Amino acid sequence: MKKFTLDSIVRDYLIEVGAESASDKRYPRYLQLAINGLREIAQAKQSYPKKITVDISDNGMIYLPDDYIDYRQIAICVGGRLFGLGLNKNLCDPANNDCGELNAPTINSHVSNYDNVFYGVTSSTNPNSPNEFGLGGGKNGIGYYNVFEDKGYIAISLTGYSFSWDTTSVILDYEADIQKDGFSGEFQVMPYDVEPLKAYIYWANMRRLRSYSMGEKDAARRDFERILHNSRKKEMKFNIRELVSALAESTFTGV
Amino acid sequence: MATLDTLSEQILRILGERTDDKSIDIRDVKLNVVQSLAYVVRARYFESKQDEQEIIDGTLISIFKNQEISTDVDTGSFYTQLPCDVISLPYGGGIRFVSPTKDTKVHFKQVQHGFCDLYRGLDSQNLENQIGYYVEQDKIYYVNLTNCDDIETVRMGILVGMPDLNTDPNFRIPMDMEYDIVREVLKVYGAWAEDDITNNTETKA
Repeated sequence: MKKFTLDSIVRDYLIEVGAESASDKRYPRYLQLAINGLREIAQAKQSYPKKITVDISDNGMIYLPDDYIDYRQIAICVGGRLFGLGLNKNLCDPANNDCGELNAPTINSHVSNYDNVFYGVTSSTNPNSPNEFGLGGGKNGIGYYNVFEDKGYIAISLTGYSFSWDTTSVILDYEADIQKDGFSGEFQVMPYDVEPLKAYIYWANMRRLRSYSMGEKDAARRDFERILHNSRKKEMKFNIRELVSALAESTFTGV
Repeated sequence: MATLDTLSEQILRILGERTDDKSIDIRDVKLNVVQSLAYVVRARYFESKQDEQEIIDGTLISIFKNQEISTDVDTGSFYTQLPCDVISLPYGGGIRFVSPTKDTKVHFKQVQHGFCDLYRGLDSQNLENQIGYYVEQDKIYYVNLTNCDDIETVRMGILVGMPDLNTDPNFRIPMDMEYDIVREVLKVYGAWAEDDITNNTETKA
């Protein structure tokens, strides 16, 4: 797959603005703006996701990776297929035990009646039983999680199936920062992000400067948003095979 | 194409017809030619900027090979002595490129003088794993250059780079600039000659 480096995009941009040489003093400025723009685009389009397998620690938590921004799903892999855990905001923040270690937030039977959310969960291995998970009751036969971003971990409570499957790790599918270790020339930009990135550099280059009119700044901002929107549309397109597949599963593609 | 010498001689001949003053020396004229050349190059650069281009004639770029990289004993920074004066153009346009002598395709990136502090901790401080440089008085200092890069000398391209008026007598001046330069130099001597006449008049009175 053809990809572009930040260096090549900045040089391309320098050509567009009439520069004769990449030794131009504007290079580092445009490079920084390009990195900022890439972050903006990545967050807007969610185009740089990561999926990692994380071991669940003894105290029932997974620690957030350094480049974590937001999660997409937390799941376990069974039989080659992902089963997602459910968000439960009532899952307790793990407390320290006498030794100062964090306790696992596993829900057990004597607290399960408090808000009826976990009622019967620990005794079940059948997610279709109305008594235990109900229909539309928000229950999850795999388990639950609660994110504690300020503390840097996600509490995991495995229930039902995941217990019987002897689960020791989960798949963390998340929005990652584009580069946690800094940029050293290897980062690859997706082809659809190149034009939005150049439009972003143009806008960012003027938006804090007084020498440009509000009209120019506004036009540059709208140009960036339009190109970003078009780029999104290009990525969201689907072909006939995908459509047939989606219909076969009785699911609309939602384009 | 004219050289500095031929152009200076031409101007001296013109001046000889216009004034009887014998004190004008070819060395003075040569200096004026260089100054006028820099002036004309700068003026043309800004003319091209009006069309949003930055056109520089390649014949005006002087190449300096095998310029040594030294280490500043106080700071440990790597630097190279500039071989000549540099025209002050926007975005550091006076220095067209600096590259390793043995790898002329890769040019170092020119950065602002305050780069090290301003970009400290930012993602772009590594310049995408490239070497940068900034100008400080008569030296260029390198950014991201380490001993591991194994670069001992550099090749520089400097716009109208003349280390000494006598060391590069064959510096070629594009034909279309010759008239502009002659006119600029004559302007300077025209004013000077008028002053001379005025002074003589005062003395006679």
